[in-house]
Amino acid sequence: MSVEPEVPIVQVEEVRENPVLYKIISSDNHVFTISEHAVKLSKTLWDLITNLGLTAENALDNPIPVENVNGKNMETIVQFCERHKYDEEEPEYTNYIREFVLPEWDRQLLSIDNEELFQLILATNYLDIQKLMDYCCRVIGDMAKDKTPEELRIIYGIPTDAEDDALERSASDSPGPSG
Amino acid sequence: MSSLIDFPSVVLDKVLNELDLFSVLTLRKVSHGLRSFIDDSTLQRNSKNSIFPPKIRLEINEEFILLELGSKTIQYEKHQCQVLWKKESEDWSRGKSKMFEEENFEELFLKDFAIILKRNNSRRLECFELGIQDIDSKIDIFSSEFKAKEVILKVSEPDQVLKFLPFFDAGTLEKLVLMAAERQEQEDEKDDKEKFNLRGIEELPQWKQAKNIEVQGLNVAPKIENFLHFSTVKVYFESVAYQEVMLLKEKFATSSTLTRFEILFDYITDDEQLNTVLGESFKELDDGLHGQERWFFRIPNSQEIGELVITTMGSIVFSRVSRDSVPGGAVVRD
Repeated sequence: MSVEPEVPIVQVEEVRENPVLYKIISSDNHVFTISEHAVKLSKTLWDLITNLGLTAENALDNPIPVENVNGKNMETIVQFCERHKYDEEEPEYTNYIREFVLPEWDRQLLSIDNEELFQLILATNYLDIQKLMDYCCRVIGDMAKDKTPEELRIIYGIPTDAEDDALERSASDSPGPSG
Repeated sequence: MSSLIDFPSVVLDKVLNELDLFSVLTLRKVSHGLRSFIDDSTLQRNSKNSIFPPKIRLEINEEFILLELGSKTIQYEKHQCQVLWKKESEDWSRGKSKMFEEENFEELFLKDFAIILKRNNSRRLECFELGIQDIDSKIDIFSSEFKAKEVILKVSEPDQVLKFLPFFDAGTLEKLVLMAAERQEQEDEKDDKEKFNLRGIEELPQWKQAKNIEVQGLNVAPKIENFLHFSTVKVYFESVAYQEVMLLKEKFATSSTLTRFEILFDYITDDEQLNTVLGESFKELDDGLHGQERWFFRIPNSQEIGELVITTMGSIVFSRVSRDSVPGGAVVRD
């Protein structure tokens, strides 16, 4: 017996019996297919699918264009959603002492440079994927551990107050729409 | 280049909730924009990861404010409004600092403290250690009472206890520690410490309901009757009359609450009387210098034995021990 416990049998059967797939096109015209259970993790996409009236029959013929998300981010997002599509609803954390640990698979997935991660967060926010948002924010939060303000400024790409002021000044100096 | 500040505020809010408390306080010091965003944010209390440190230590004096959260420390200095922070193991020279020349160090602290309160709405914590030198300090941190199991007050006069102890919920408080505040200026080694009067403090529900009490370095009147309602007591008396020791022995044997009573003393008056009244002690001299004498006595209606240990180091300890731990050859008296 060498049955891989990685993939639950339920999942295999369900996919076989109910292989509803959707096509998504990223802003840079990459095409992705995603299963129904996975796409439901994105509230934005699922609302869209429902509103468009896509069904098992016509789904693949009607790719969904997502203009705010590029291919690189979309790939991560599709991977994430497929990975977590059968997750059970997480229990409410009632005990605030309990520390939530990011699963290793997800930590690997999100081991990308900050620029990418920040883009991914914006994409995740747009697609409204609660769990991925939690995980991304967690990764960003962990970066802050034991850092000084200067280190945080660099990590998070925050301008100094002086830079901020300069930016504001140049904005107010530049001619407005009427000028 | 993407930046945290380009995030929509809902996203930034989420990130803030993932930061540990200390990181939020650090982030506040990065820029004006972030500072005002953090101060206006909701910082949900029960977000999954906002682990609140079990202990807060706060020292407030004219020159600086020291805030210790778990293993991290922040110091807000009046001079140049410098803020320094470090981890437990580091000393200050290895820590980090930043100056906020246009700000006021007390206001900077108060805003950080407001964040702390937002993060812990319940105001529950294991331990709160507080040292406020200036009793008229305008730094008001007690908008409502804290629910701390242990409260450590560093004080130099009873009025400080009367002022600050009521801000801690009496029902939650288990252990109260009153310590002498470290003095700023070295006073010319006056031996006669000023008396520390417990009157008034004894009337506070916090004093009445706490189970464990420690009084360190404060010259309280050597009257054991003030402490008999506690379960464990550790108290410093400059001098103890041997009659008080005898009274304590009697009270300890009959008390339904006391389990341990430790007195640190400079001297016992008429201590030669002790051997007369208590009988010969069971002596153990370990290195010939620091010896201790032990007496054992029965506790009515109990399997346990009362033990009295007096050491040459200056401590008297009453405790309850099991019959088995009484050394052979020791006499158990009434």
